Amino acid sequence: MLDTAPAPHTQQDVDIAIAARAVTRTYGEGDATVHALRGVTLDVPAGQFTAIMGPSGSGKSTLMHLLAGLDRPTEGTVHIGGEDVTRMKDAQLTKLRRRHVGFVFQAFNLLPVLSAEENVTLPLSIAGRKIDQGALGALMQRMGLDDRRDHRPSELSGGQQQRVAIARALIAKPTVLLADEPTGNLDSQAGHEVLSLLREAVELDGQTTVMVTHDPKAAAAADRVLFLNDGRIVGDQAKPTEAQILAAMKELA
Amino acid sequence: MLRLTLKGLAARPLRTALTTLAIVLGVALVSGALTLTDTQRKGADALSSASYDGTDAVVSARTAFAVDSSEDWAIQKPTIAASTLEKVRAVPEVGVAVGDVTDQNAKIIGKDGKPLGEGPYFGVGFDSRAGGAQRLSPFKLKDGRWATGPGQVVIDAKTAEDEGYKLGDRVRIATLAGTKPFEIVGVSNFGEVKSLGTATTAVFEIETARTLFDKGNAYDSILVAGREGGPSGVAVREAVARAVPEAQIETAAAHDRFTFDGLEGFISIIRTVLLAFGGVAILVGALTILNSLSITVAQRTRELGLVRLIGASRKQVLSTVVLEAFTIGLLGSIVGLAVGYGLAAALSSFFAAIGLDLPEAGTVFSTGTIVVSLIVGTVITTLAGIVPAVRATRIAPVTALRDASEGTRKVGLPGRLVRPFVSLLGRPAERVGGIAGKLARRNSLRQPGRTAATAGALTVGVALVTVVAVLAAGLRDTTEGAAERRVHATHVVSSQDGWTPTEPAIAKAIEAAPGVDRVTTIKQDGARAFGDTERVNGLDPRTADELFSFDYADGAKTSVAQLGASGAILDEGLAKERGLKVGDSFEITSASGKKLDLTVKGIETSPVLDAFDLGPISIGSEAYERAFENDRSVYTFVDAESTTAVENALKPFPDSKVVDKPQFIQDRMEGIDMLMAIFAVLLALAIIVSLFGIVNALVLATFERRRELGMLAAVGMTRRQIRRMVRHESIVTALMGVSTGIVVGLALGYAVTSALSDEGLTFAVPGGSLVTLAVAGVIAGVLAAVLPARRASRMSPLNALAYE
Repeated sequence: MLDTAPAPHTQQDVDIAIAARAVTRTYGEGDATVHALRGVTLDVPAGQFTAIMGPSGSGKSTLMHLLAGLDRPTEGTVHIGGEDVTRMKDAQLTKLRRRHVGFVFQAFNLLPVLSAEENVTLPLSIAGRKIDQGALGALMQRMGLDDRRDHRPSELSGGQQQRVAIARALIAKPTVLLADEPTGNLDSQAGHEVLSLLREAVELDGQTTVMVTHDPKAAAAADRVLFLNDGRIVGDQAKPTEAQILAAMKELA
Repeated sequence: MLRLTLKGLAARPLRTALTTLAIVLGVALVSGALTLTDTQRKGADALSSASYDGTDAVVSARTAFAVDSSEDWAIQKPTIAASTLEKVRAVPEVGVAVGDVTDQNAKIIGKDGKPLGEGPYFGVGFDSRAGGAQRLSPFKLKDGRWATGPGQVVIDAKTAEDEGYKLGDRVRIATLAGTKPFEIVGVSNFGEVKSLGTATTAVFEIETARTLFDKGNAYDSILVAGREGGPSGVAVREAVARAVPEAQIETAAAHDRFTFDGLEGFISIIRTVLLAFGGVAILVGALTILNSLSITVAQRTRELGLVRLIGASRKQVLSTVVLEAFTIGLLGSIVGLAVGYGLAAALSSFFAAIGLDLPEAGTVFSTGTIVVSLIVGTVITTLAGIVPAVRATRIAPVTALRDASEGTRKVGLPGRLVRPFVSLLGRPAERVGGIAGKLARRNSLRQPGRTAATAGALTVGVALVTVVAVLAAGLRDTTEGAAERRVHATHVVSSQDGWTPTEPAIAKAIEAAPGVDRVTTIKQDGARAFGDTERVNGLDPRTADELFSFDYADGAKTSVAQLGASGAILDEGLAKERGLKVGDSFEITSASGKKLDLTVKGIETSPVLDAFDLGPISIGSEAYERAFENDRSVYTFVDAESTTAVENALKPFPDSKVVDKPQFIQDRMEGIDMLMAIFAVLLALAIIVSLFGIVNALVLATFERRRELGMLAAVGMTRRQIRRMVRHESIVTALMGVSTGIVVGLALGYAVTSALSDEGLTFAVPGGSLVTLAVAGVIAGVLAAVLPARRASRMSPLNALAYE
């Protein structure tokens, strides 16, 4: 059952964390032009857990790059935390990501030379911000890393490493947390834990979260699932079940 | 396999270029040294044949022993009587014979009142009226005519050009007969060139020259050429020898009146020094290449495993890596050869700029140079490739299926030494650089073996620089201390250039001047002693002690006043070598054959590098005058009320100057300082080579860590912070190399100075130089990081999202 009229949330009573308007993104020139996004309009309301799904080449990665302030659209505008990133220079984008964006990657991407705790506080260190020891302690506790604080990433399991990454994404209280296939490198048990922690952040802290995934089980943890195909949003479901998601995916394929 | 290697190199152009650069400088130094000195030799040979080829024989007074006019410069050669010229002219085989004067005491005084040129200062007597004399002389009239009477002179074209002298101008020339004005009647070339290096030349009429240079009724030599169409060379020499058996008959080249042998010796020294530094640069380059290839092998573990998996043998893997080294070596050697050619040209202009130019003789780029350079560069680089190649063969095929993880390799001893260093050196970086500094410090500990090897190349260069600095400081201290102790005079008088001996009239004029209390001189000549040619110092027993003294060895103390008519003070080195003690007797013979029986009165100790450059045998003036003819003073020590008092006395002598004692000692140090500066500059080249190693290691690390760098950019690290991180890592590595180099260098320096302590050499820590080195290390680190830091900061954050 696919909602064929993608209706972006435009209610004025909800804060909008990210707003994308008529975004297109092309790569290359002439005959070799690749149209990754062909006009996407989207609002990510604050406090919501949004999942983006779509087959390979659907443009979901490109969309995430734009929503994360890692890339700029060819046409259209993107606002993150109320700031227009469309014309920002690289240095401005970097600073914007410090203020507004937390990342969780599929490959964890922890620094092997830093301890778990140092990896968590890395964004604060980079931004030259003070570390609130109380908040840090609470966060480590919540991630179940209390007794792993001084361990190096190589001494941690995959699930533990991804929990360190989630803590690193949350420590600076970003406007939006972007997760790129966060369960892709994990077994189902660890994947489940990671999803619970992301969900918990949404529930407890009202953490706006955007997750790109191809795993229907993971997407089912979200409040809203967007379906992308050929650079366009082709579906938008509120709190779908795993079965509904699977059905929608089948329709796309 | 060859194609795989070449493709691999082409696929990584930057890394290949950086690795290759490491060997380029060393090969460039070697080929540059060979090319430069070959070219210089060709120039010197051209000069030599221009000067000597027309002369079949040179007749001079027989000396008691062979005198090398370049090496034994202090020796005044005896003259040959004018009567011999008639006997030579009577020989039927002889076509032309002329009396010649070639002295080195004619200083042309420039418009600023100071002598021109930096020596030698040739004063020549040319008998232009003797038919065919031109054949025997390298001087060719460029302008005007030859001098035909007193008061006339022909000067060299370079001096005329530099000073703007024209025919008819008057110029003052200082000779043994004082300073007199002469009219310029001609300008001459030396063979095809304007002048002989830094030399100046004044050609006088032969009779005038005999008067000016105190030759009496004699000549320095008689130049002979065979009859036109008659026998030449050996036949002429044999005929002349039969006619004047009492004289010495040589070829012009053997007699070498223009001291070209000295030039040859100088060229050999340049060659040796440049080759030595080329060797150091190649060694450091080889270390750098070894390191770079090791990193490449580590990085390609999976790829090499895969090659093994699909059936390549160990031998094939070994040969790919060795082949890679060979290709890099060959490439580097070819580029180095080209750079060396440019280097030779640059050094030529440098020598020309400091006045040591030789005649233009097309650059000599010999096959020998090409072969030696290519072989040295290629062979050494290939050898450096063997260690990583063997390591590559140990990669098991199964590795291709596993995740290659870093840090699994065993950490060797140098690697283990890295940790304490990084902990110490990284702290300040962490404080200054914040998170960037902290990451830099941790990153340099990731592969301690690699960091150690990278820093190790720098260690070699810095250790050598430190040893040189330690020796320089020791030599300086020793030499300066000795000079301070030995000179008691308030002032010292010398010629303007500080090293050519001064005429006796100068000491006499100062003695008579008001405000001057005491004067003493040291004269020098050469003698045969114990079968060797040694320089002999003549000191005045009546006046020396209060103005100048020796440092005496234990139990062998005396004073110059005790020397009397047959006493001698010996240098400790010579005394030991010949087993002489106080009270022993020995004999010396002067060049003119006069013998002196001497008794050892005292034994003195001079530092290794004697600032005074005195000979090892010192005798009293009475004995000196009995046997030696060189009456010019190398030093004139003066006790005077003021500098002005001495200056007034020196007014009639433009080629003289007076300095006070502290200034004199500083002037004496210039030689040591200059020598050490040259060493330091050349060794700095070795350090530059090792910098390429740091650049290379950082570029590779950047490539390996691209995902991390992407993540850092994604979570908000600015490009500036990333650049700082790379820079700090580079500085930590550079400082590690510099500090270990300094420690090793100090230890080596201590060992060398201890071994030479008998020579009076002391160990001194050259604080200033070491601080400079440390600062240079930081700067080097910053420079090495420029390129890798830029690459690292441009890493896209999207790298963090990409996964294989």
